[in-house]
Amino acid sequence: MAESSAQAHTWDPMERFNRTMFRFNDRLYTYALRPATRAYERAVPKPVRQGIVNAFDNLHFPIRFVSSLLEGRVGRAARETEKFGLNTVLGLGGLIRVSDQVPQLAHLPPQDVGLAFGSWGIGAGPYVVLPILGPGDVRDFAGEACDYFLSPTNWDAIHLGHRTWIANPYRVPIQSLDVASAIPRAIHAYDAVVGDAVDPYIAAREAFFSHRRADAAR
Amino acid sequence: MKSRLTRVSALLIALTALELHGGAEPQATQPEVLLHETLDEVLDVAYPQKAVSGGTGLEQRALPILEKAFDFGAITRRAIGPGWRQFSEDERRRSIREFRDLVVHTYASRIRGDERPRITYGTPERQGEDRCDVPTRVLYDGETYAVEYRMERHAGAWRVTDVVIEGISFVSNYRAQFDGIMQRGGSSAVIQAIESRLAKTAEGKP
Repeated sequence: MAESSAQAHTWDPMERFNRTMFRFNDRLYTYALRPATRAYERAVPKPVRQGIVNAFDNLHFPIRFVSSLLEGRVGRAARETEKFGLNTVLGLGGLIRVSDQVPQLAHLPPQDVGLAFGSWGIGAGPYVVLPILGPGDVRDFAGEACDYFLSPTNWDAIHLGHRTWIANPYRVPIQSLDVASAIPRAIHAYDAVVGDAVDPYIAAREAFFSHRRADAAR
Repeated sequence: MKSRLTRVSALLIALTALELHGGAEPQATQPEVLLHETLDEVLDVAYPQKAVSGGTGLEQRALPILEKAFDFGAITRRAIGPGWRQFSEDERRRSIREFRDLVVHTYASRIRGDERPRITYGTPERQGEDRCDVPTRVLYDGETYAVEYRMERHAGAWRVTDVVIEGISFVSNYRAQFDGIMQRGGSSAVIQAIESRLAKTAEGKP
């Protein structure tokens, strides 16, 4: 059955450590991030919040473009470029996701370097829960490290040869806003997974693996 | 206008399915039509009467609608897995009733916010005579979610036996949770875990 083969992929040799980290993160969400999310959602109107999320998602284009190429999916990379161009030009720098109105660009599946590593046949490695960062496997955390360097929000400047073309003196505030704007979505996703769970740790672990497998299959 | 378009496209999907299957089944028994009607009914009771986000009232109103379309017996049996064989008749009845309440609560708690979700229906994928997966996309709170309903036909009636949200199967996820509990404490521990979860839910605790 599909369920048993899915569970066979779950490798959690550090479960005791992971459960401790899971409890730590759960308390962090309960006492800091969930109240902060509620305050943010009360203070900032929804269209503004959505605009910020859209803009950062648009800025993460290089992650999707490069990882599509790493997977050898040139057509997918072209569609990502089209989406980025459309949202940047017609969507006021990405604030408005104009691409949602274009059927072939509206539902492009997630793409990142971790998925590209998976497509090369690199194994997921053990399941790890890290403080603050949350659940993942070794391959995905390595992929996220690459994603970090591919995201323009983490760049100081764009150099070409010896010349600096675009300097980014606001890297730290931009990075902070990028991370902060992603927190409400992460909290809602976490609550949706563990909210009615009888074993929240297992629910989160299985949800992580199922979700990543589905991303890889798309 | 958009909801009319959605209804028209659902009708087209239903008609296409009828044609593909030689028109042998009456339209009312098509799984995607049943699903569409059920989800519409659930959203009708949730909006616009819904005064507050979520709310226990919604669960009571949604239960009779979901009971017609969801096979809670199959959902519970599969979520518990091979350990089901160790359940007595009474434990089976209790676990189905309590797990049904948990499923309905989980489902109702996904409906938050004041904006009615917009659902678009993809082409149903037949997995044999009596199995059909109906893919949908739910536009909700500015985000789009892929939600697939796995349906099966028993005694001529189609019922939902699993819901897969963004690749996460409801049945498989609970199965993984119950596996450890079953191994440690048997059927009574599983029922106790469901009861304890329901009690926390009633108190509004995470």
